[in-house]
Amino acid sequence: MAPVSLRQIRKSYHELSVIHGIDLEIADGEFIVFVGPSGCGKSTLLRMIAGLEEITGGDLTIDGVRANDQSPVERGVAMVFQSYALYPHMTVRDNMAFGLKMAKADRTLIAQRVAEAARILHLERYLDRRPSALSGGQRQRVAIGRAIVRHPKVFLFDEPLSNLDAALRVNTRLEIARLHRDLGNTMIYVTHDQVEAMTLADRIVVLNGGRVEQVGTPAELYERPANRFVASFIGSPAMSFLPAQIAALDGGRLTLALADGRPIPTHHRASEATRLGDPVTIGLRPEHLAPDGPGSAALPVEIQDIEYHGDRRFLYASAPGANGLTMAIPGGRPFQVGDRFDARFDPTALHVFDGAGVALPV
Amino acid sequence: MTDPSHPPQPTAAGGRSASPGITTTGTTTSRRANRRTVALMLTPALLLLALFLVLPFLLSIGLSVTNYNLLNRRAVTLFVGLANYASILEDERFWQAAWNTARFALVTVPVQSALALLLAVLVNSGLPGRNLFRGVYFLPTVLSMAVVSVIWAGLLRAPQGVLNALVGTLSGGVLGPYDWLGDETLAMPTIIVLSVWQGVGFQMVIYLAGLQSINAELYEAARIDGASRFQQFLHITLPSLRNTHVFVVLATTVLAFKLFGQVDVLTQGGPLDSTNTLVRYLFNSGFREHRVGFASAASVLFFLLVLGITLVQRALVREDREI
Ligand SMILES: Nc1ncnc2c1ncn2[C@@H]1O[C@H](COP(=O)(O)OP(=O)(O)OP(=O)(O)O)[C@@H](O)[C@H]1O
Ligand SMILES: [Mg+2]
Repeated sequence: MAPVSLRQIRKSYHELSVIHGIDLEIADGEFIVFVGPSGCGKSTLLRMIAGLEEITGGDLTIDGVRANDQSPVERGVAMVFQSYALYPHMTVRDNMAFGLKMAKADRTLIAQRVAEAARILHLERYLDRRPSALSGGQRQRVAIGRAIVRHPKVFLFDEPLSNLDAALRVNTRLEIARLHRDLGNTMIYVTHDQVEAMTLADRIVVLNGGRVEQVGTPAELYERPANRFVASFIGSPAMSFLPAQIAALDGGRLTLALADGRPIPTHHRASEATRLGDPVTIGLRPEHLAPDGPGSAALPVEIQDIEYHGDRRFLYASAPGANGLTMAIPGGRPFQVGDRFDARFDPTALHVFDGAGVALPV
Repeated sequence: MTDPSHPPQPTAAGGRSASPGITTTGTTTSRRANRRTVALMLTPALLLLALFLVLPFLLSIGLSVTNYNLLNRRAVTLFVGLANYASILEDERFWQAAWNTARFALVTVPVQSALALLLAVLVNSGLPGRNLFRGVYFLPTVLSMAVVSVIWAGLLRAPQGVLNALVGTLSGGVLGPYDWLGDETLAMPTIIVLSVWQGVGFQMVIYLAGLQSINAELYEAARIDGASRFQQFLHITLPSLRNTHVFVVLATTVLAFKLFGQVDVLTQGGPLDSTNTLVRYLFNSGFREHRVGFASAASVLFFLLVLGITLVQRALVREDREI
């Protein structure tokens, strides 16, 4: 168990810079998730923490010790790989014991640790099998077991669930959450799936193009995204965006004008750079826009697509100046493609982003 | 078996049972058409094999029980039963050749395989100039054995060849000159060194292919587990190459038993038969002494010997199809 601290961590391959200076303080026992689109540098950052990739610049500290030049074992990290990377010619038992054998651990200690991990992960019956005789989910648990037996200070996961099918993914996600509760280790988890990030993380780090877009709890990211990128990345279905203009700045509160001139009074304040007439973007979560909701603002929409999801439906609609507005509605009133009506929303629930995509303060 | 805590996944099960073969979904007619295509495509290769491998082999079994002689055409060829086999087994020169061949194989197979693996690991390790080294090590393999032997004959010449000059200079004139090919104790070791040098590139290329098919993440997992470079080699590389080892050892053994060219060019089996080999023994009796019946019997014995060794090796080291 250990805090991890990143100060101005950079990575470049020859001339090509892929991580541009990341600062992050991870508390002891925290579950941190790196999330971001493909190629944003999540794996690279994780592999630098693991000691598999050289750190080009900055300081990595694990448990108070500068770790830049330490080996993975000296850092006390264990890692679960996306493809599991189990040793194919070893049994499940030997796979899990390998790290301790390399550390010349006592044989009874090894047996005890392997038994403990097998019990936690329900692998007792498979200890003498080769990985090739296991299902994907079982292999995944062996990979986690291999990490557990070493009692590492920090667990690292690189997209550990992406090779599992949907049902097993939910199952294993819960197991990892339980594991974190039981062991209490610091865990750093990489995924491009924002649902995994939301459900597992104490704090999420949203990465984009080798930079941190925002760090915060799942609720902070969902309710107060710092910018348009985070707003569109977190939440499923994604936030809808509407173009608007700043129509008035009365008493610090902004009034916006939609594309058709309709005024929308908001809670938001102007930043120093905001000027009357500036173009802005309104962001609305699907659950905040409804055909006949309680909101005081109205938006004329036309339904383009309908998706049935059992407990609810998603309506995809167009409005003046915007396409692909999403509404999440419970079953009930039937809708049809082509229907037109005034969708309602609460102006205090919306997000406003300035021309550069930065969220305006509330 | 499935884990009770996770219900079996229909996609996974479906994926496993649906083999990529055509037969699982094919109707009888398409299966028959399929079989015809297979037969059609196999025929040319099978014909050639039959013509140049099976037929001559059957012929030599037939000839091995006769006294057929190439020179003595007018003499009647007679059935002699197992007389050829008996006289071969009584021939001291046969046993000498068999012992020499075995000696050669016992040294070259392990040495050449291990050296090939070492070179493959070095060439694969991302050192600068690795493409150059790969080419340099492979080059002797593409040269004909006759050419290699002629070049080495020059290097090995006694007393003023290049190798003797080298040994003399390095030892300050204390050692040498040696008669590398004319000395009864040196001739076979010299042939072994030359043969390993010539053949190692082939096994190296096979090991390289094996090395490159190992999942790189296994090494990363091993690094996380704290394995040193040597432990990674021991616990990841060696076991992952299991099937490659089986192939390399079998192929090298068969090649070693076929030892002929370098011996025939460089030592003519001498001195005092110390480098004579089984293939040279049967070649000589057949094409130099023209005793075709006798040579055929020797070749049948040779075939049985190689077959037996291969079967024993296969039984000892079974290919691991699981990996
Ligand atoms: N060895 C390398 N040489 C050059 N560039 C590299 C190398 N490895 C990674 N990169 C680049 O670094 C960037 C980040 O890669 P990384 O694998 O960390 O992305 P990621 O966020 O994990 O993406 P994904 O979700 O697809 O796994 C990418 O643009 C990639 O092209
Ligand atoms: Mg990745």
